[in-house]
Amino acid sequence: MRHPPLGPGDRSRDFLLRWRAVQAEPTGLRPVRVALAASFTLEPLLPYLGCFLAQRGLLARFALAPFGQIYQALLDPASVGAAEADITVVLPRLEDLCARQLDELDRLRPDAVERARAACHAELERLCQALAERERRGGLLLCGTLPMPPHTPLGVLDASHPASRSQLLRELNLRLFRQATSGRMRLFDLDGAVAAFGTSRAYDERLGHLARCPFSDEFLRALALSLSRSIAPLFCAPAKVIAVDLDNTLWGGIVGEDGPHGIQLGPDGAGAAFVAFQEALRKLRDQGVLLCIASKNNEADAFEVIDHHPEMRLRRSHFSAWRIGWQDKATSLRQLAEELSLGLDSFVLIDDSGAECEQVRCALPQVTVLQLPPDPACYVAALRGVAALDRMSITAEDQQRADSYSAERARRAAMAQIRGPENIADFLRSLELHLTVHMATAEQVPRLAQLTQKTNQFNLTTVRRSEADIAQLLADPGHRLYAAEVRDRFGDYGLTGLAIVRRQGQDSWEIDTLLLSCRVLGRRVESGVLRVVLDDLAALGARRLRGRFIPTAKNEPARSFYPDHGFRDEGGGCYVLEPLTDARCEVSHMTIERRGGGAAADRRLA
Amino acid sequence: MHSDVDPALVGRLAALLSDITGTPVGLLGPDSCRDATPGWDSVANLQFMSAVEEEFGVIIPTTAALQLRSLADMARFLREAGWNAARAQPGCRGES
Repeated sequence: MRHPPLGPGDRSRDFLLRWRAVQAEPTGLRPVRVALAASFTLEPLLPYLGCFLAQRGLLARFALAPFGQIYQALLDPASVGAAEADITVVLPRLEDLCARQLDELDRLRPDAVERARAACHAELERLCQALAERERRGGLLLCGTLPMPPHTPLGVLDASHPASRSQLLRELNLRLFRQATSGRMRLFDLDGAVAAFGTSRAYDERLGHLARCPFSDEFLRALALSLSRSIAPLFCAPAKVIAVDLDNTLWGGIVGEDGPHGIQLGPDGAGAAFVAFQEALRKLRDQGVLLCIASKNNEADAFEVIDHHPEMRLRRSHFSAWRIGWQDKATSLRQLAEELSLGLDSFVLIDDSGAECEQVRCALPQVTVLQLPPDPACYVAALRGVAALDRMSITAEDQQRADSYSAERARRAAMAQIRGPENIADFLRSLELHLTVHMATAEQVPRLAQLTQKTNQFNLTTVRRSEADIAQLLADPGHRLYAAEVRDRFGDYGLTGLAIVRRQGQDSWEIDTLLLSCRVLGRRVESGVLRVVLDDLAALGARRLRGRFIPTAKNEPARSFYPDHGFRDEGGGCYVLEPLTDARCEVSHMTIERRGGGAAADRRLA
Repeated sequence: MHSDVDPALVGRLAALLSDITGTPVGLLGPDSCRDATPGWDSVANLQFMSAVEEEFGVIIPTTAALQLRSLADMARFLREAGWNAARAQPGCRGES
């Protein structure tokens, strides 16, 4: 990034200048069409949101519905930007949505209170139906929770009166929550953002009266930051690995000097802060982030603490890899990336030392660096502030990821004992590889989109796709999507492969995408996937299959896929297989299971 | 015509407005009026008022906001609000 990043505390003037600069020269940013609809004036938010999204590599193209036109934006495909938006953001306020019903509620007549509350619930039901309708038409959808107002007519009595506004808001937000947990729509916690900022500072009633914008300018900047953190993970893959330092990071003090019993780690004071930080890291591991150690230390001292200190929350088994020694951190990170077969741009380094952080920032600018604040009590908050770790969905594969990397360690150990290429076939057979391929289903859409966004190495074309893109392909009879699940005797790797083919003519098809997660590389799984695709296409009458290899900085492992499997090189990265029986697919080392996909006959695996 | 208006103050306001609207500062003067100056529309006006509050540490009450139509108006408001270059301190936004 050419410009130093802006934060919510920077002046609005700096945001406006930056936003103009970004739009004038959007080099290297990925364009994203963002349609917004709110029940209040939202224009002043856009430059702030645009700047924060640019800091995440996204160039927002905004289409803002006139204020108050939430339903039009959701229901009318011709509404501003609605049809071609990559994401639609909806920010309703109860006070705008249900002004009349709330008026009724505030009269406090016993018979009217229940009626007014029911009317508010009915209005929200209408909103949820409109949201569901928008969701059905495809594209990403993000809806704000209803924010608590700065004050309520009942004042201190509001907490315990049947006509309570705050209680009504909680009920309605619960309804939105149910909608988000049962569908693809995601919620943005606007109510939470207001509360975190402080209600009295978040609202500015002058702007409400002058311009129908209820929020203060300084809150709009904080709001833009939180909103960007909900939007960006829908388009950018989150970081996959946290590499942590040890001394003064996982515990207080220096184990080499203070000894394993002299460090701060325990139930009270600073020691408790380090325990809390370890627990926060462990929870991220459960969400799919791999933990590694990059520390300048004696390995024996470090493991004395990690294996035996009674207060450690992170043990050896929680770490996917480590480099504990006296080399510089950048070298350690490079080696960790190689060991895990992951790109350095998916790494976050967490370290208390300014010098170490600076060394990594200079040597490896693609690594996200969190330099911890001086007080360990602030570590957890600092960790939550790392936007690169934000995620907007967690798949079953995410939850198993850390454990499957442990299986990978065992597999590599087994591989290290095999000498010479003549034994590779023996080794592959010893894996007891089992491949399950089936036509992709709607439930797999989030994981498949994630695979297209995150897979860099074995990826023939590196086409990134959103959930909406995948859902659209699933619905298109001209495309067939094959999902591959892999397991071997070391573990179950889950849904780790995807092939997409596109019909080009009566008997001619093209491979649009073929990718495998790095977790299953080196097992010739690709041959098995191709085998299933070929059999399926042959049953559909195909005679010709084309493919393209688009080289990137990272997909070297996929370069020889086409020539290895009998495709003819046509030059320019294009390959063709004709007839299909010319293919060379050595799959004797695996068992292949073919499963039917969805209900419709034409979507079933032939 | 604007003998009561400090040219340096108008200059600062013009620079601020120029940053917000993208209108070259050379086109802005004390008589520049909202809705009659390129880029100074109602949204830019909100941004301008917020930025003036932020930069000059003042609060623009709702009653005054609608009367402030030109840069000269804003400069007069700032002077009446007690702002002067020597004593610029951030104000606090009160509850309305």
